[in-house]
Amino acid sequence: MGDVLHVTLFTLGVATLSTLLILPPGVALGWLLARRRWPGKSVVETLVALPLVIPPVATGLILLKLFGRRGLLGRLCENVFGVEIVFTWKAVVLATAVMALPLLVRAARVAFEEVPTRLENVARTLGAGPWRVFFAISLPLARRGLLAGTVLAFARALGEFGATVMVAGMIPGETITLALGIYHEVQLGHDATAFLLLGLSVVLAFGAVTLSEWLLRRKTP
Amino acid sequence: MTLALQGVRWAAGAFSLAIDVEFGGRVTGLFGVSGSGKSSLVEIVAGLRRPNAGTVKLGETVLTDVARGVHLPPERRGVGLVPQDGALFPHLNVEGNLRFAERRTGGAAGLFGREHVCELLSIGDLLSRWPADLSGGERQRVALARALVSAPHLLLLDEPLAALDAARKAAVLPYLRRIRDEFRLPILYVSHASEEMIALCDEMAVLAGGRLLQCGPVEEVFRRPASHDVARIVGVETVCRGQILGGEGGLLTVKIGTARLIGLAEQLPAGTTEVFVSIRAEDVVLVRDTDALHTSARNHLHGVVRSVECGSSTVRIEVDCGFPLVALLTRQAAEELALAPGIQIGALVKAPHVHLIPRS
Repeated sequence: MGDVLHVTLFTLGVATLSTLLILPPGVALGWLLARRRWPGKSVVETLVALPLVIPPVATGLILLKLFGRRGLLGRLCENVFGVEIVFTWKAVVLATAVMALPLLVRAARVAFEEVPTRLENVARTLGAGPWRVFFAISLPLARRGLLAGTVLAFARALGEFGATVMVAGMIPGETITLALGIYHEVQLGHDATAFLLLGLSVVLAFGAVTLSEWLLRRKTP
Repeated sequence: MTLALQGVRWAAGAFSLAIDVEFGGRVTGLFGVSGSGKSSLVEIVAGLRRPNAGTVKLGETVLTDVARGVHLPPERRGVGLVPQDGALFPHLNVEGNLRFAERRTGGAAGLFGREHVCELLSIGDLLSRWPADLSGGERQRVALARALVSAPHLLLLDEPLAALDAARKAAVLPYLRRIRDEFRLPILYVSHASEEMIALCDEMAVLAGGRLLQCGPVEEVFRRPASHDVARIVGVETVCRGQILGGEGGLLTVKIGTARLIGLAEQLPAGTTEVFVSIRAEDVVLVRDTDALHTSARNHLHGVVRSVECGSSTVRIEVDCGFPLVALLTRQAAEELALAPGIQIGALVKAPHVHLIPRS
């Protein structure tokens, strides 16, 4: 029972952390894709969308090779920061973040595209610089889409399996999330525990959706 | 302060804009149908669009100089823009909208202070309302107020009345006049409604296909279009200042120069004394011998033909009947009347064709 609680809290923590981590770059990237023309835009667009279209396990394999001991980024992390990523809880955050990012970026892009350029232009003529226009006009006007995208990303992070299992493995007490746990328990023949974890996943998902609905309804002029 | 555009060029696809002009008047009308380049010009002045060539100067301040790589960003130009729909920020209430624009001035008291501006535009009671709950006219007044509290050096009004119905238009017009009279601000007023031009502007510029066809005093442009194209776009009209002398039975008597005309009272707010009188040139009937005539037209004028200008199918005749009246006749009609400068002539205008536009 203690294990189940641990797994639930761990999953919540990982999903929250990875969502928070991708929020700033995800929103910024969404805005850049919606509002600016820059060289390499289509390349970045494709790269960001990649985890959506290839099997999650394949994304996991790429991450494993990149962040592994002999991987380019793995060596960087170890030499510069002294941290090991793969097969630790950090790998779970990495995998869920990478898998959730495309959903957030897409939602953010659409949300910013729907903000009338006219309003941003008028805001400029009223004396506001680009940063103030972004924070006082674009961001609040795009908030519904951004919130929806954040919830979607969070839900994805909660339930991620394929990429996580590749880079983080299935280490009880260290890298097992609800999704991994369900598979793990079924493998061991512990169907009752698996159903308990299933129930908890459903509750968490419900909670996230309800929270976002409540946030969306609140304070709308 | 003058707004000067020199050698301004901008092109996209088949459309190109080429503008050389200096707007010196207090209120300059920019007249043109959609697609004439009005919006591009407005955006270039506001700094929202970079021209391919040319300079834009407001007074001594260089806003854009393509050759020297100068392009002042919109937020540092002090150009207050009010677009057709007002573009109020929907997530801020009226007060929030005003406060957004006050940053530069800090909401200081005085001419451009919130208190004064709100009073001038009668929006003091709307401060806690949301843009979605405002009527079209209220929205435009708030948009005007928001532009004013940013303490601009130039006001760009891009068809601010076009989205309103006639009654709302008439209700907002007096506020535009107040702004014109209260602030020492050059105003560029974009519209394709001749009545708004006459009611608000000192000078006007006619824009078509990205080129300025004619610039000059409003009366002048309507009375003497420089070309066939201008005449087609703005229509030929006599525009004169007049004074209401009095009236009865729904009719008003107006004094113009030494002449008196009768027009309909219903177009005017009660108590108006100073008006612009506008008569479309095709609404004027010229007759050789008025004395023997029995007609339903309320206005019988006598005058002398000053000029006769032949177009392809029409003839533009200017008659001095105490004020310069322009008539547009077919060639055939002009020939039958044997019109020539110096000839005595009568002119008939029906009362409903004497358009009265309030001046103050």
